[in-house]
Amino acid sequence: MELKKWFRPFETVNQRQGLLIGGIWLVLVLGYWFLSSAGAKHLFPTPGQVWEGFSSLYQEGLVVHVASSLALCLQATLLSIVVSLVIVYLSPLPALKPLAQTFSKLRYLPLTGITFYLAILVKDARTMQISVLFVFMSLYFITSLLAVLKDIPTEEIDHARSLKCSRWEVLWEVVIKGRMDYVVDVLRQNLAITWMMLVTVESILVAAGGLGVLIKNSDKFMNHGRIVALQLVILLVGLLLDKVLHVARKSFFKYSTF
Amino acid sequence: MKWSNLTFFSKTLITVAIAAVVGGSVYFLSPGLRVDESKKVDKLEVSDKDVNNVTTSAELPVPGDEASTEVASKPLVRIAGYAWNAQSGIIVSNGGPKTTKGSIMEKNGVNLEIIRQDWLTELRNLQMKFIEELDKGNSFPKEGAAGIIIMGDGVPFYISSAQQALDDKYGAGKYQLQVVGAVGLSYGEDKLIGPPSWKMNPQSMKGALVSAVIGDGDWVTAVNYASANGIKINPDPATYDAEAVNFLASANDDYIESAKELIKSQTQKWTVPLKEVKAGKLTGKTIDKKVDGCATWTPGDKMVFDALTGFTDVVSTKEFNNQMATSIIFVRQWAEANKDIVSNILKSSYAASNQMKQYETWKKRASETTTKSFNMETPEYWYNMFKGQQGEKGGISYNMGGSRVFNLADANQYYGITDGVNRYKAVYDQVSRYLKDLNPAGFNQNVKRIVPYEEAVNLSFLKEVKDIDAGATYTTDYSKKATSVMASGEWRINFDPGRATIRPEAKDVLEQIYNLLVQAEDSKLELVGHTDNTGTQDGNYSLSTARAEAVKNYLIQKGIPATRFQKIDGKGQDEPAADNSTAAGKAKNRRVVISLLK
Repeated sequence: MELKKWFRPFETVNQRQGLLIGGIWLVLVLGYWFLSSAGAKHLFPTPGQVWEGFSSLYQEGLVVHVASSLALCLQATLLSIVVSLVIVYLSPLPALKPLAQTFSKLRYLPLTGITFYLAILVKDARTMQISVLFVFMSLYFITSLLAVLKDIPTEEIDHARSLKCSRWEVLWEVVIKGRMDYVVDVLRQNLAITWMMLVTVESILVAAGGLGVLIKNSDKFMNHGRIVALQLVILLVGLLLDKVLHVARKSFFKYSTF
Repeated sequence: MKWSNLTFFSKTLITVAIAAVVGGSVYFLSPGLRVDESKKVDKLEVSDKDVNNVTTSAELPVPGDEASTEVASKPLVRIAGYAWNAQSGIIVSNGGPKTTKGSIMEKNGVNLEIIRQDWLTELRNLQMKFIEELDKGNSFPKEGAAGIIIMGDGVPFYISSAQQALDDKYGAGKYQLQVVGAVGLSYGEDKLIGPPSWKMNPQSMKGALVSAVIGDGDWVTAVNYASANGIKINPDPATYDAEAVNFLASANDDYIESAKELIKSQTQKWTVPLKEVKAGKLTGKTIDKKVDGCATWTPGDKMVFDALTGFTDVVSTKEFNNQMATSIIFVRQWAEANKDIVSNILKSSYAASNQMKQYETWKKRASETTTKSFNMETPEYWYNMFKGQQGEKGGISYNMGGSRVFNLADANQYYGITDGVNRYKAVYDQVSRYLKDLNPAGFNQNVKRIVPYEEAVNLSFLKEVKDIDAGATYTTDYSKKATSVMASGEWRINFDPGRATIRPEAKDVLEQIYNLLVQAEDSKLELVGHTDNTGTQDGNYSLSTARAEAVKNYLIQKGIPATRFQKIDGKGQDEPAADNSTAAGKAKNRRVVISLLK
């Protein structure tokens, strides 16, 4: 092991050393946490408080709440992916282009107040949760997907045309099939926004439970052990989703180079 | 077979299968959702009688608009609170959000800023920020707020949770939050809204879904009403129990949302999916339930009555008139170091409120300063809402708004300093019990200890307030005959067979009855005793009357005026509540029924 290598720019280290560096950081962070929360006064809850929070949450059905959040997220994601893709794939048609562009702009609209109108359109509270999440996810998806479309090099389109592809065939081959891997990546990038919005959306219907409701209640009572435990759970589940999508893209689209 | 030899499809299948098995086992092996069971909470309730106060003090000049220069050099003290009309006394004493020229606050040498903040979490954060600065050795932090003003029935919730966080952060006992006094109260502003049938026949409320901010004062009003009528409460917002009153936790903990949820459910057939429970067990069915009523406060009530027909105020803080006092909470360590400031804030508020109670000019000025401080609506709006407004729609009358402000005599009476009946303690203890028994939003899981009244309230600052006209208190006139039953409930007060002596374990029930009676101070009472079928019929009449008398005497000895008892009766064995052929049934029949009249 050459310690010097660790502090040299652009140096590559082997996997074992990489793990070692990661491990050291982890120990440092945990050590800092233990030490900084050891005194009488501390800003952050102690590891003991967080563990206590976690175990009490687990006993109250934390896993069911995680599942509820994931189910909500999945339903809204599937819906919004389908709708956004249709809108974006049709955006090369001049007649439909303004539609996609307008939707993309609408992402600046705040959530407050809109839920009232949504409530009038839908008949029950759970559908409203899904709709709110679906509407706002779609706006971000459309924006990101439009950017993917815009970045398609003209050479690729010209290449397809030179292969005697019709305009519709170009759309199918280059835009739809050729950029499928990007769609997965866009989903991955936007999932963080979705996952973050979940807390707000879940507070629309407390009865349905979910991680958002749990963290909101813990915040209400200032139980910091539980708050941090929940933050960690939300973070880990989010990271897991991210990883799953990343691995899925790499496996499904072998040609995907980014 | 080697993994690398498998096709991509096979790998995917195996991966998905493994993920499903692992995920599925984690899901099914982990503990299920906690479900709270509906509870019948021991009950009670009330009505009102506004007594005109005699003018006892000379009218003082109202405060001006201009900022005070006299107190400008003094350290600024900030207190934050909701936009709430019951605060208009303290606001007018200050002349507005900041101390003005000619204000009573200025005369008492306090440089005060009143900040509007409608989110409880933000109020709390302001106070926590202040404590953080105080902890750094800054004796007059400019950041955060030294004090916050919340409703009295929200205090056990707030102080218990914030105190736990303070103890966690700074070590146990280093900083302590305490109520230093109350400056006004909600007098009808907070209410349960529902169909008139809930008023005529409270039992028809069973199985209803009421939107409310769970744990909030409006929710407490609804819980009080259901309890007073012996209806079970479902404390769990995720479930539906047809045998109890159910609550929908309003979106974003917003009382305006409670009103909106009722409106959209009634006008748009909007429903809420709730898991059905029977006797505390999930049935596996999900019920789509519409919202039948809401618990809210002004302007939420106005919103409902503007939008819907067929709804009325079923019960409000006019009936539970001692429930929601505007309580000021300071951190003890700072308050004790600045005793004069804290007492002078109370003193100014009481002096100004006493003027408000007597003079129109002060009431008008109060509504102007309130408008300015809250930055919403018009002075007319706050003036009308302070007095409370009545309306009628589709033949159903309803009330909106209604607040009172405290002069010194009111405050002294409220805390029992004058007459020994500590009304606030009754509210505090009652709500503490609701928190523990009904566990709103997982209170018990989050908060380990409810701070007892003795630690949560510090009356030493109030007792320092002297040399002002104390004014006259609001008093209830019990000499008139009450004609309508507001609530009727049966308390299981245990008696030994054949005896009229209250058993020791019944003391706890009586304590709760007492707390509710104090909260609903304007109601009159009717006690009817009952027996099982042991003994002779005639003997049982006198025994049942004796039982009702025993309860009456107990309550009188606790401080409930004898004039409040309108009727004491004994029905003997004539009206059994349960089967007399079993011992348990007999025990149920040995009871006293208490009705609240208005």
